[in-house]
Amino acid sequence: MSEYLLVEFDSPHEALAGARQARDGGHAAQDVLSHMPIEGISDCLGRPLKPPIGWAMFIAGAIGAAIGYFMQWYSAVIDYPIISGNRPLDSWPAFLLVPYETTILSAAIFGFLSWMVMNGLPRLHHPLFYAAITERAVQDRYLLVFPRDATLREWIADNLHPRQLHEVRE
Amino acid sequence: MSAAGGTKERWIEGIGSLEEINARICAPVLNPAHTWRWWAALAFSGSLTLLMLGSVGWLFGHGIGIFGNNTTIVWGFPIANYVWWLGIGHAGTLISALLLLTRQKWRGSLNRFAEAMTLFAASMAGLFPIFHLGRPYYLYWITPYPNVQGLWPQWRSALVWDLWAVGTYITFSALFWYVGLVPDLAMLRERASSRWARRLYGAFALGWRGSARHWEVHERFYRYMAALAVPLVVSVHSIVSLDFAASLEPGWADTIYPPYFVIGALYSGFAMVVVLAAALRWGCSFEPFVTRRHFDMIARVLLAASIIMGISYATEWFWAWYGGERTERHLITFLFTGPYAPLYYGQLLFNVIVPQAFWLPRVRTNIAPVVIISIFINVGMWLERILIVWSTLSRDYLPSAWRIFLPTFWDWALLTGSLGAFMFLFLLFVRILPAMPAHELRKLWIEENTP
Repeated sequence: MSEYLLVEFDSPHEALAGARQARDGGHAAQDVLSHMPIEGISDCLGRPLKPPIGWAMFIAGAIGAAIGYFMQWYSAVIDYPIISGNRPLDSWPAFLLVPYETTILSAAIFGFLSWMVMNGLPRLHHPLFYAAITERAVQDRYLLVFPRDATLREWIADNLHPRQLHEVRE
Repeated sequence: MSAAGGTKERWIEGIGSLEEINARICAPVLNPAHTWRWWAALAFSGSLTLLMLGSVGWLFGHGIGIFGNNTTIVWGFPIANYVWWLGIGHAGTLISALLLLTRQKWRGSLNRFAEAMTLFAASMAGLFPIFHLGRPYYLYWITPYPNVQGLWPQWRSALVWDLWAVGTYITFSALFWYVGLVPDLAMLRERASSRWARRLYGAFALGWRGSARHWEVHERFYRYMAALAVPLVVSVHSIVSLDFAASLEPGWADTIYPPYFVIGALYSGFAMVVVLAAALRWGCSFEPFVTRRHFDMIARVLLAASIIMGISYATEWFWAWYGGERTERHLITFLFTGPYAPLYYGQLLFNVIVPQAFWLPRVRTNIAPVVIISIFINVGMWLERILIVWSTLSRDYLPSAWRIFLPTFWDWALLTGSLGAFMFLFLLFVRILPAMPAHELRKLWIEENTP
């Protein structure tokens, strides 16, 4: 099943340097576990991460705006026109307020859903949780995640100078 | 840690390790000290919350006749409280979002509890228009729901705009706040000792592992949300101001209203943040995270806002005079000489004059005076909100309708009750969730302590 080698570092800079070195050595890490975001580390992984969450939110916002305006237009012009003082039925300046809010609301809600989907959350059980050290990863540690492999282990111990190596078996 | 002679700006003082940050932030949740203080505060605010619930029950039983509202001054306390509470809420979002986008590091210690303040204050705000509806059980009539009568909401009504603005705002703030909490909930999941707490925090942490993918998605999402939050806040309080400005009343139908309301919101909200920051610093031993420099920074923001408020007031006077409209001019004279004049002078004193003390660095960097002036500002801003409602309605175009507002017991009971309920929610928050964003402070600490 999924078995991992966790390579522990002392600081974000060492973790970043380690990830870089591993990538350049042809053994790019699968993932990194850290208690804080490390800038630039996602470029050092096996496949670079470019989650398109901004696009998801933009499209959701545009749809939200269209729905917000259409709802008002349909109700005020088609379904229930109120003729009052010969005012235009499609009162667009007044009708911009609701679409403004629905844009932000739908971008936020859809963004949150995308945040979950792109993160693969919720996922309460993950093989990485079998290692006791992952408990510290959300508190103060930096771990590079590699597949468990004896030769790779040797290479890492020789080249990356980690603080410690941990193995995860199911 | 104490890099002597370092010219680096420090926002975290006297912390030796990451573990110390975690321990301090988790302490109020996992192993609290001074619990009697917390229980005493909870009992006090809980009794005020009961007062609020009782008043609401009485209100629903007897109708809005129990308020001081009369045939002329139909808005009274509920609308002023609504504007005031919502304004307080806005500062939390601005601290969190605007300071994130402008890369202000001092936001780190403030954003979590300021966002909690936003949620609770906006919830209090959202209740008041409902209390004022008269028939609150028909609240759903302002939502577009399918009904057999084929009716739609009136989209040209400010009340409907309010629903969308406040509804969006509360939903958005809750999402923004929760997403920021997830990495810290994962920390609590690992640190909690009881099985029950581990499971609960674990469920809400959604299985956060702090993986590179998580952080990449998280950082992007958080920044986009911040970019959406700033225009949202501006729109929400602008829409609130349109409740007034979209009318034809003297003193309300002004184009200055939207910006004037937004700045007023920021002003009262930052003042509330000062009060809560001081309370947290004292009650939860957060001295390393909420330093004198934080108070200094907020005091500067308050000073700038007070000057803008002063200019706004002066602009109102100027346009009333320059516009030449008799009713407008009369309204300003009425404010300065009428029965509300003492309150108006109080408003000017608290909002414009007293905060000028922040020009002195000695005042800004001492916590007690900053807190006291902030309380004055909150009182002053409440006076401003109530006077906006009272003065215009008291001196409308029709002299035969001129009346004065006299608050009743129930007006005061609901206002103090809402303060109690706000405090009650905030106290629960402090004991259940980490009041400081641990992951952001760890990052900040590393930045500050890396040569």
